[in-house]
Amino acid sequence: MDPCSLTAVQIARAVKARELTAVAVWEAFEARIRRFNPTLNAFLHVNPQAAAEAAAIDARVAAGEDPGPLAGVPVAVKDNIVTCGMPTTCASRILEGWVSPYDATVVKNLRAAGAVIAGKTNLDEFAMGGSNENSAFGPVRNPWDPRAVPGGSSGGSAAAVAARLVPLALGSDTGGSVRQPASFCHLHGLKPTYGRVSRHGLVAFASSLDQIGPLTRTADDAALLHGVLAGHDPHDATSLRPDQLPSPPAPDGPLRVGVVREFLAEGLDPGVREVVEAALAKWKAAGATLVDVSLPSAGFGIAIYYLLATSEASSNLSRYDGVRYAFRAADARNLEDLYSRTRGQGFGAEVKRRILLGTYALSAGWYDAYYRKAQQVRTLIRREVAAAFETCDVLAGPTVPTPPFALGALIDDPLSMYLSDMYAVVANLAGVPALSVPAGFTRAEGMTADGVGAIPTLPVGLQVMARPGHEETLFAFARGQEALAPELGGRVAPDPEEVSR
Amino acid sequence: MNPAVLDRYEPVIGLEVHAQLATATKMFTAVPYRFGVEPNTLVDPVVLGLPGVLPVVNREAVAFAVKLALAVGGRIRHRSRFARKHYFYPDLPKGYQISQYDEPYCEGGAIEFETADGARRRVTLTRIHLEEDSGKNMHADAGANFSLVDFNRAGVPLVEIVSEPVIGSAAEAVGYLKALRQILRTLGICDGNLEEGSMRCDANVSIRPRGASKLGTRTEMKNLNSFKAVSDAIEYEIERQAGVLDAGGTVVQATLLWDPALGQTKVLRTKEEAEDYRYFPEPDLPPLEIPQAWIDELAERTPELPLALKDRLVASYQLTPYDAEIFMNNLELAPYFERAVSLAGGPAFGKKLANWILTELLGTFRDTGKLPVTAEDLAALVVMVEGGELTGRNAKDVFARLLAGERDPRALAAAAGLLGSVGADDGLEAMCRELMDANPAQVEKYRKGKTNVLGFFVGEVMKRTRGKADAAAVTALLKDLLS
Repeated sequence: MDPCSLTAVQIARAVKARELTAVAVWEAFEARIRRFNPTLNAFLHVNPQAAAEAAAIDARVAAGEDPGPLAGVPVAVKDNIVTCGMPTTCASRILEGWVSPYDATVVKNLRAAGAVIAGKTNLDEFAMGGSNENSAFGPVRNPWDPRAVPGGSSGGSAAAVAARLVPLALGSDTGGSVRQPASFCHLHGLKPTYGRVSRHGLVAFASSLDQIGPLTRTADDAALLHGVLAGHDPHDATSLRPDQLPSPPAPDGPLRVGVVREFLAEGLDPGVREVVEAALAKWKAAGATLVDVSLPSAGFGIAIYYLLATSEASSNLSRYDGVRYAFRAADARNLEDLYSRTRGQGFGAEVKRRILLGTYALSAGWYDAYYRKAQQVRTLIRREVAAAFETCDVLAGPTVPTPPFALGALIDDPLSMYLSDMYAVVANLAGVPALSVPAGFTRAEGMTADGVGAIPTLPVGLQVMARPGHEETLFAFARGQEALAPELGGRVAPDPEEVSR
Repeated sequence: MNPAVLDRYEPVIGLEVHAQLATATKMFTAVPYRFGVEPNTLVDPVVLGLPGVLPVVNREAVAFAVKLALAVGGRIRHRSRFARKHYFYPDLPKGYQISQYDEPYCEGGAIEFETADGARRRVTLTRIHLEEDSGKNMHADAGANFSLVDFNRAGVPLVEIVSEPVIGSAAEAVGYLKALRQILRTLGICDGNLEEGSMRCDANVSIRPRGASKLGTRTEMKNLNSFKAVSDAIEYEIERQAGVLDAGGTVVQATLLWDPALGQTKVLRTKEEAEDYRYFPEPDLPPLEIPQAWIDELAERTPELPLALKDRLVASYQLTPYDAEIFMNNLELAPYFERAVSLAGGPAFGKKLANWILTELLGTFRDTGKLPVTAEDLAALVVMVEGGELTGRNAKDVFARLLAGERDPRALAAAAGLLGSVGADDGLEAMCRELMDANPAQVEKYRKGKTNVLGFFVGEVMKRTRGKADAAAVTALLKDLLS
């Protein structure tokens, strides 16, 4: 039995049943990481303690204990989530070499559930980007086609799961950073309800939007991992208490799927549209009710997202000043110089662009026109989404307007890159849970931009959103999608070519 | 200060006071704070602003802040908000301070105090808000090419109390600050130590010609870490501004640093250099909810303010304002006093009990901070005296034994045979006659004009009655019999 072809559910079951040892599982995955990571660049650090952690799980199983729901399952952690004993870089020079003295709450939860921390995955610097090209430590390749980006910012986590270097990975989603890579890599990627998963230990990008979510190959794995991550955390004041969660919905009648009109409008790639409409047609044929739904303010989503997220980012990233930890520029002449050199040399171009945008939006005289106005529109979007859920159980549409694009295609065109998240940001702004599920494949026309080879066929994701706290509805949808399109579940990315040395 | 300046100009002063709340732990994390310990030992990832940390509001700090709001009669918002105030400085770990901005938890209220001539003044407050303290930069020796930072103070809860610009003189400013400090101490929420910085004051000063209604340009003075510094700096600044105006100049809006050694201010920054703090609502914290039920609960546990106590002691127990003020300035004494009054049987005993406390106990209390006699025993003693069961003289003997640590004055008096008193009806006259008969020579002396032998007879009577006779009555009786 090759552990790398198993789901997390299967691995945990086999480890607990002593059919597989956690050590054997880790060794199998570690071998793939060693082989393929040089090509993919998905991992920034592999956990040197992973084998020891796996052995400890086996010892517990041998002693008759239950190590937990993720017994012996290797989990990769996006490198903007802090971990003891391993660096946390956020793919930024400014944090290079910094090791956290504490574990993020989600990492504690993983350890308590018997998981083996596989290592830390690459990302766009401070989670700012949609292609994983904004990493100080090099881009990540899409396992489905190494010429393509894996999406971002959780590109390393997505590539690692798609290439079966790990069965599970954590991403963070501020404006699509879990779902867009899930769409690009044929994975399940969840952005939970805001406050459902603790942000304690997630290096903040935009505090009011950030959530940690799973990237997995199956619906059951997504539900399993989310179950381990979610829960109230006294260290996060925005974390939801059990009494703030709505009761789960009582299933009654056929599923009402709201098809968001604005998500199928201008700017959508025809191939993606075809895949999404075909998937929805299958749902209809299976008895679901399709409801035409409008979110009139959704079109402002990207604009206000880039005001709010950059404003919060400009504030959150103020702490990287070279005074207390990590990178400090040499040869500063005075305090002012220390700040400007450290931040000038430590941050990459996209991070600087966003700090400048956010600083501007919060400046005296501009605050009302930008930040406050954006908050007002956010409230409108929130209300429109809530209203849509009065007639629907889920809202559906494409996750991303395009299939994966070629490395370098959009690197000098930040606005086009930003539009990649035009559907995804709505869920972050509204605080509702959203899941991208594999929906099919399409010809990625954009891949011909570099003129290399034939036009490949690459993954397309379907995004579903649910009411706050209704993640279970999304997992049920994902299981339904797997049942409606069983052929998709069998498709795995080919093994990447190994880099010749 | 040149009084002529005040003839021509009216000073307008507003004060901003930062008070550290004496909570068990810091504002947003469970780390304690104490002044003067080894640098960077009272820190954790939250205090240091490490990547990934989040603030969690300290409920005790909010409770303390609410008590202050209640004490000054401010309007408490049931839902207020924290905001981030941004600037770069090495002692500010996150690059922003978590504070409150356009939605502070308390608005309005006032602080009342007495001026030197006993007149009452009321200074209204603009607002009070909650925030966190910064660390401290420690500059190494001159010539060193580095500075050090101590983050022990970082994250300590602060309330900032902002007065309206209605204070008219340096003396009034100091009166206000002393009253505010007394309130903070009475509430037990801040020790009010200006030297150690648990209470810090910035003063906004402007002047305008007498009779003018338009306010002048103000300057803000920092580093006022004693009452004397507050007073000196304000007077210096009033005179400086008057000098500028007298010379036909204009006052430049600026932030000034007071140098107590030189007795001068120096410019820290002018308005043009003022920073844009880019305030915005703190996204890591939900709105601060202060429900009315919690306010009511805290109100029940909020002690009476000093000035209110003074007024009540005068009104309820007929204490003199002078005596009441001693209680006001020694706040632990008041509950002791009032308990003794209640045990003794009511306000009628108030004046007597106050006399005992202020003449017999105050010294010990000031020296040791302790009250060695229980309120029960003091009340019992005074009741015995007032009921004629114990003479004042014997009461002092009993009190001395109580001070020495014994208890139960009634038992002590009874055991020493001091209980009860010997009056005219109790054979006092017979006792006197007996003495006179036994000492005819002394009687003769008295009658020949040597009246000082009266002392001999009084002493003998007191000895025989074991002090239970009223010395004045005995003297009068003997005079009568001897003449």
